[in-house]
Amino acid sequence: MNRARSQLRARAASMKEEAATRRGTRTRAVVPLAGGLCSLIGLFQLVSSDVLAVNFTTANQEFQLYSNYLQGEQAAGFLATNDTSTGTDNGVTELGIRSAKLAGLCAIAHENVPVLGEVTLMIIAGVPVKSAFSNGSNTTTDGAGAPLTFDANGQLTGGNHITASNLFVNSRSLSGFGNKISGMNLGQSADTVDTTAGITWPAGQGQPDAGDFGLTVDRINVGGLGGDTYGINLQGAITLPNLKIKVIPGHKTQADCPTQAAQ
Amino acid sequence: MAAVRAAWAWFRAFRRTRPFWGGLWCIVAGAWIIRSMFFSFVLAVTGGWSFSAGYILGGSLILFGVVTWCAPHYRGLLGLMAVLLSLAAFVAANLGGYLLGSVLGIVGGSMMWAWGEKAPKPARSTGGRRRRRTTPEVADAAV
Repeated sequence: MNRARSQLRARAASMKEEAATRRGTRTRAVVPLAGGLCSLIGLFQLVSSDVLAVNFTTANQEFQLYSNYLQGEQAAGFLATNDTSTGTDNGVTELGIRSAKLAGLCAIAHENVPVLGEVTLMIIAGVPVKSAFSNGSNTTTDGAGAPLTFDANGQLTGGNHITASNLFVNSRSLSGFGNKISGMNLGQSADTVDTTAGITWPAGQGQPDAGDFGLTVDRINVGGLGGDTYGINLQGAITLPNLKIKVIPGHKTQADCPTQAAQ
Repeated sequence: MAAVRAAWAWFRAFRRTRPFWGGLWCIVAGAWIIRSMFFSFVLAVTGGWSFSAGYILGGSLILFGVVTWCAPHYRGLLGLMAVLLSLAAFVAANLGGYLLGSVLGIVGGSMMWAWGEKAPKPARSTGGRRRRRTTPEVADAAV
């Protein structure tokens, strides 16, 4: 015990002696700093110009998800509970889409930060999202007033849309205007919907039980999509054209999506 | 009071003998990246790369920060690795903890890499405790 203490003291003394030499961060820090930040900007450009796909997964933070138009092929859904890290369970719909295309994306999360108070995190990509969606009619223009174009099947045409494969969303509520939904099967046993749609539920999430309510859809096109979502889980990759990540003080909502996208 | 002062003196010596701030920013960056992809442990283990990337990249950043504190000798390698991992985290871990984690990691890693002995400050006296003051004075005399 005594020996350990004297050793500690000796080490502290030698450290203090060593501390007499002036050491610190030298100016050469600029080299990796500039290199790193330039590469980061480069990566950001690659992601926002559609070349590089990023991995984006969240679990227990609820955020609002808005899109002008969702075009999905081969989707399946069932009801489940979502465990958050706080221990509370929420009833959610697990929705899996094999391949999806989104006309604009605006994801909003709120966070309380010490000192600053409430801040809003906004992830914006694709064409601007409208400030509000009218229920009961399809969304035909984006947030900047430019028209969205569709073909006869309700498929999105034109560029700058977000594509995602194996997109899984668990939402407390999802709303929108269904535009040409086909091949719908409501009330299929929940444990078989994934094989019908050709997807695999992500490991770790609540798995469906036989006999529970499930649904499958061949083509699902939804205009003016809004939802309270706990998790977006991408097993595949997502391309995010015109990506913007913003942290804004104060409480922002869907109404701020087009203005923030324009800035 | 004396204990506090002794502890502070120890902490100051600790700070001055290792890349303290660079390591600290790396640890904060790692913690923030993990926080932005916070999953239950089972999910991180079973769910594959998209669930575990935050723990792996953020955890490595924390580890690098702690190791440079304990063994400042490795700061050069670890600093550069921290910069590279921060870049990887941007692609793999929720855009590097919504960008913030990546930026902090790059700053911290650069500071770690660039830490070292600096030229002693010229004339300003700090109570005569500094040892290497003799060199510049000799240089002055020569001019």
